Amino acid sequence: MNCQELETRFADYCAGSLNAADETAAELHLMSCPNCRSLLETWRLLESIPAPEPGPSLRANFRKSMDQFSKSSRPVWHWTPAWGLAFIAAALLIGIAGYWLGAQSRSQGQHEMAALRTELADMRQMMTLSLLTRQSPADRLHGIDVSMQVVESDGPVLDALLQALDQDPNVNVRLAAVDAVARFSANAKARRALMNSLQKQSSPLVQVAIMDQMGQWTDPEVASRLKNLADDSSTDEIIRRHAETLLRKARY
Amino acid sequence: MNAPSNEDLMLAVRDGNLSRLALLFERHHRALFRFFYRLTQQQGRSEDLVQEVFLRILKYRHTYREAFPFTAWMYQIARNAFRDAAPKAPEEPLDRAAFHSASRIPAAVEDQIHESQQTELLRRALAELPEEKRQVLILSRYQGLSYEEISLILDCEVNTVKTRVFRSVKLLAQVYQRLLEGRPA
Repeated sequence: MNCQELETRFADYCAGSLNAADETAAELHLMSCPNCRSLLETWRLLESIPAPEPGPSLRANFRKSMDQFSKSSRPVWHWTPAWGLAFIAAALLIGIAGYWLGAQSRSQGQHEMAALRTELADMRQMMTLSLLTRQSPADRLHGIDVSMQVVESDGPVLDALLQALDQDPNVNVRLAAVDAVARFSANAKARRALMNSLQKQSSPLVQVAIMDQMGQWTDPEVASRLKNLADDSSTDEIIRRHAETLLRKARY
Repeated sequence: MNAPSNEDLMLAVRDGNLSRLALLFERHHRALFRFFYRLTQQQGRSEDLVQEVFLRILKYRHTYREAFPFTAWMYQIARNAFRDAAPKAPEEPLDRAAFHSASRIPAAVEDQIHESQQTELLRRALAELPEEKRQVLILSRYQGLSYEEISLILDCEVNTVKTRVFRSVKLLAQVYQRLLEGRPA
């Protein structure tokens, strides 16, 4: 193999996709030709140029863009011959039953907007679930932030938030999860899970946050749970006093 | 259960299931960021461009054709977004900052310093290449794409891609050698 022949085989040699005979021939040439060898060394050295990771704001900005796009997007028409025929047919129909078509069109628009809203909700749900499994506490906090826009009160998002509430090693994430779960306090499952979590928490900060949420409910079980805490001598002093304060305020 | 292919996800986006774009974003935004970073050496601008690519994917989703490799389509959009973006004031490149900090390393690790200097010179040589050659090298060396995929991105024959790779490396080696010897352009 000579320099000119290597020109057509160099890329395949670098990719390891030459057949055995050509590869051997290329290697023999590279051993004897310092110019071509310097090309291979340059190619290999390229690997050493580092590139950083994107910053955390990229994912948040993507989410914002998606939101904005969904808000601003309208049903789009793409002109094709089929659309041309459909357009003529629609024009005829307008002539025959203009009022009826108008009503249908409005209904269709509403339907598409509803579909878009559903898609957006699906995306938020998926982002929440994905972010809550991340290693970085900042990502998990971001996941909880996204969950604040999820409307559905019983489903995988609530389950993921409850898991974060009970098991996340980071106090800030657990605190944020308290607020996020409390949004669903109309749901008995969410209320029960928050109350049960009280005993599982090691941080008084999180316990106080849960108790503050409980103090806002009319659930009859709240009083007995708070009373148990206030009467239990093994309870942390801060928590016991806080339970007493809440009981006094609520006059259970 | 197998994860959905990029193409299946993009078809779903095209057909109105916009939420599937989040998964495509998760799969590709890092590689795309590095592609732009290697082209621009600017963190903020690269992040903006990634954002722009995914917006364009949404905006032009109806132009995606079945059976066309998604990554090739995405990089076509990426190249257009890069071409259309107005150049901004240069930031301090991160890897250059890393190179500066490398000069504070104790003398005992001279070899590492030497390597850092080589890498920095090569980075500068790459930055000096004409746009087209730089893109060919970045696509073929860093983005994990096959020559077939690159031929779709650049809209040319596979053999043309291979020849361009060779010529780009040749020019890069010449510029790198000049920088190593401290000769002016």
